[in-house]
Amino acid sequence: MLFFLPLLAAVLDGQDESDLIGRLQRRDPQALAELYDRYGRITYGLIHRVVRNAAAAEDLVQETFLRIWNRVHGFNPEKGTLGPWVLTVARNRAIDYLRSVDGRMAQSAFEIEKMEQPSLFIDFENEIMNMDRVKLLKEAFQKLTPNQREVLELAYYEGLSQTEMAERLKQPLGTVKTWVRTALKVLREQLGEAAIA
Amino acid sequence: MTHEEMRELYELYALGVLEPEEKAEMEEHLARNCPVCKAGVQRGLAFGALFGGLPDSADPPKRLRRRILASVGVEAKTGYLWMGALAFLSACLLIGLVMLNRESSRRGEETERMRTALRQSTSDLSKVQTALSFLNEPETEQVVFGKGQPRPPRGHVFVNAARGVMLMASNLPAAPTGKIYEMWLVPKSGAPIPAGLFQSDAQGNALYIYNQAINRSGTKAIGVTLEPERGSNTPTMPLVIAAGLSD
Repeated sequence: MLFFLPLLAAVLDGQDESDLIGRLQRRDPQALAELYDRYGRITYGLIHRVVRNAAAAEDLVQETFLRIWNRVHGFNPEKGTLGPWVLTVARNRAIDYLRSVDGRMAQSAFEIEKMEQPSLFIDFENEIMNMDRVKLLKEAFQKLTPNQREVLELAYYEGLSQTEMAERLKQPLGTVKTWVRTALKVLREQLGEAAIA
Repeated sequence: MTHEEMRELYELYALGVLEPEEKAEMEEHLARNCPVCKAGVQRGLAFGALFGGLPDSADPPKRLRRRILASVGVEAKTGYLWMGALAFLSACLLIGLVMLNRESSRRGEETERMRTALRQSTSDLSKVQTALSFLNEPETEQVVFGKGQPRPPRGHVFVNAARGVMLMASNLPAAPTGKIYEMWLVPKSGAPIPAGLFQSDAQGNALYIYNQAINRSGTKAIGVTLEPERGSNTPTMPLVIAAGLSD
């Protein structure tokens, strides 16, 4: 259960998020401190899970928060919620690092950055990342077959395309695509589409 | 590709792991502001964010927070805080050192006083031991002086030809500033012989030993005068103590 605590803490504080966003946009350094206090642990946990290296994780967490700090002006404080954006930036920074280390630059940094645009994170429900939903996802994840779990982890935590997964797993691309799509379908059904839409 | 087909790709697109041809088709839809695809991508982003909550939490090192804040210029405030704290600690340390130094100095003075007292006690003990030894000698003869005189000083002179002369006096007036008592051996013929300098204590007592063999048969008296601090070669009159020896 402990892995939910950072999220829970972040969500409990979610009420002031528009105020926090406003202060970040006004370049209030204390707001960055609050942002870090709110999302620092979960960000570090995620990045560390991806890169599995404490020193690199520290660098990437710093890069994540600086990126948020420098791009927050594009965020709509009335319509946005920071959590999904922070985690998306964090995950993408970590994947970008992995790709650079592995020499996998087929997916360019520019491509991955497109998914970090603050404008993409407007109109998210404030409760998008609440504890119940993460718990539901965790439970749903356990219902997947090992192959299905593996391909989703390769996509999320290693940033592999389906072709790269097929090479890594030495499986036909069609098989991998089936695993991926079946896995996503199972998760959607378990979570209910409305829960993440 | 239909929206139904694309529905299965939004999550992968949001994760940036779509195959190039599928990605191109998705972006074509998005470029047309396709509301279905836009909503689908958002759903994919939300899914990805939820996924980010799955790893077990790990505590980042405390320095990471400082490092991040420092990178946006908070280090100045933090620095001032640290500097303030450092200055405060330094001030406390300085005060502590001064107090410690004073205490150390006080203790040093106390120690010095105790050392002086100990030296004095050791000296006194040594003198008493010498005096007892002097008195125990069978050849030591005693002369009382000042007895019956209306004014002090009074006391005893002990004479031993081999050991010298021991003076025990009381009611000695304090020597004036720049003056000191000097003992004289007064021979039967010739000038008085200087036999050492001494001072009385605050109570007017004195125990002085001239620790040197004397010509007992040639000495007729022991005298004490007040002399300049360096002592004199000839006595300055009057005699403070005069103790005549028997023949």
